[in-house]
Amino acid sequence: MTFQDQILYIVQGPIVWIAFMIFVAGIIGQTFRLSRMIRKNQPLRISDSAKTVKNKKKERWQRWMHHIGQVKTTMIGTSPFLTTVSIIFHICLFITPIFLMGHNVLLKAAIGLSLPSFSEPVSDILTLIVLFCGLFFLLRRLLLRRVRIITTPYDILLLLVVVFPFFTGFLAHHHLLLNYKLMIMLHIISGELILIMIPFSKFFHMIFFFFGRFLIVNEYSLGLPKRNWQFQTRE
Amino acid sequence: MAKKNIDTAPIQKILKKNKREIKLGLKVCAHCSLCAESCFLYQATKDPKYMPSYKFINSIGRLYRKNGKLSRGEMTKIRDIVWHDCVLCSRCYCPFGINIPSLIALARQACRTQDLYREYDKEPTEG
Amino acid sequence: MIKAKPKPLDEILEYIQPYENILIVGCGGCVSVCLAGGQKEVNILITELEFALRDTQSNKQFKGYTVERQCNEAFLTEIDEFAEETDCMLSMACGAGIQLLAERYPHIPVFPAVNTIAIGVDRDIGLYEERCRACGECVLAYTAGICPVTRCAKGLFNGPCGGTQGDKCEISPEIPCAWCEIYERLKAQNRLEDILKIRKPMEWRDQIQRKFVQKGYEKRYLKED
Repeated sequence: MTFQDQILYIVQGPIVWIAFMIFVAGIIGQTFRLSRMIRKNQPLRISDSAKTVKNKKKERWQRWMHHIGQVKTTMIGTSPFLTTVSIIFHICLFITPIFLMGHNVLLKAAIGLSLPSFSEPVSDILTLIVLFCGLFFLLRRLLLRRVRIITTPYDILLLLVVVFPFFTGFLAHHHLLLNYKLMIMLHIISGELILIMIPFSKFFHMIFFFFGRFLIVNEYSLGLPKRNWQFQTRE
Repeated sequence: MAKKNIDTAPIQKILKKNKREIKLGLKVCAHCSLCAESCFLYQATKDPKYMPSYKFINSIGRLYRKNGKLSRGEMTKIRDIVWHDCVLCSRCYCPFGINIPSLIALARQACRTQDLYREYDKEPTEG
Repeated sequence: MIKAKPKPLDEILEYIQPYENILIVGCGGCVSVCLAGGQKEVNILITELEFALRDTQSNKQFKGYTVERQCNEAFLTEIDEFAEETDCMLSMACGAGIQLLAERYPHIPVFPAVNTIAIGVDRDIGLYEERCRACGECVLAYTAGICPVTRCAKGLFNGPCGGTQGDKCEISPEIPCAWCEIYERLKAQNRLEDILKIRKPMEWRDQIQRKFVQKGYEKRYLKED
């Protein structure tokens, strides 16, 4: 066994499991940590019968228009293109690796179970979408002044960390650039890196998002949350 | 306003008390700039200094990273950000749900401990 | 915004007479803008009170603290840490802020340090004019943007009273008659038909505390039928 084979053996064996364990434990731990920082509100309700919402057709229609007006003030209304790109990017980020045939073959070999897979051309397209969205975000970061003034080198590094596994996976699959073994090694290592980073880096927004928008009351909360942050620790 | 040195102790007290909130806000902010349009001052001027994220990163974020050890001049800059560039209308929108007004209010709290605040008789209009 | 004026010092001294540890709570909102109750005015009040009490045998301790908004409880939590060693509070916020402060600390006496005067405009630094009495039924649409509730001494809704002295109010020759101004402005805009319609007077009886839910947020607080 060459040195390269040995490394490959380690990164595609034990380290994968360690990365997955850190990922899952990190998410559970962070979710637990955040859930200890929220408190349920006292319900504030106006029960005056004269003030209940009248559900007349005209009023319902007006209310709908008002909601549309409100949506227009959120990022869907102010930056529809960026929002669309962002949503597509985030969806592809998850579904591409989960439903990739190569990954599922490995999963089957390891635990005997696997998820359904996309066909290879579909996976290729999804990968390219992620890469192009990543490029779009990078250009936006570098070219738009409003993004540039809050950009740090760390933001660019994180973006590269995200797209790197997709990039190397794509190249490895098509046997481009480097030899297959080296490329797949880079692919595996970068994939493991991102798994480990999710709970502890800026990727943490993956967890925070559900708290910030679905559980905490604010002007733009989704659904009808009934909780508030309780950040300060009692001395 | 007296030209005093900065007394870091009360600032550090505020930072310590609200550490979890500040840390989480800074950590989660993806620097995406999508909050910009939710600020009416940004809408009116298109000047990125009015972006809610820019304002909290450069006020409370800066104080947090420096652990309150800033010069009077730097504190005055923070004061200008949190009073002149922000009216604390608390209408900003963050896709992740970061409570930006609360963070700006913390920066104002820190400035107030140094007797730095907006003096409406000397600077009544936006400057 | 809301305009307020500091109370006379003697009145404040009377309130705080039995208390030793006094917390003066400023507000960073409207009362800062109208120079009545911001952090600066808190500092000024402390100086004034200490000076007024200099020769007396009082052991009064004053502490000032300014919150961003006294009308929002989220900002009041900052005061919690001082509440225990406070015998009484002097609030420099508007009436709304004072009441919320008193509600949050029901065991501590809370006194007003300002008189809330009006919802008004800034004419100049330190010069303010009432423009709105928050009646809840705005009529400015047909009064050419001049409020008869605020500007007419009788709050009339259908033209001037019989006491008009030229274009001045009968209560003082210094005060312009609101309805003369309304007439002149509507005439200039060719909208005189607006004041020919009879408007019902404002229902001032049985005024109770108003509470409302903003449009679009009904689902959070109201029952749906």
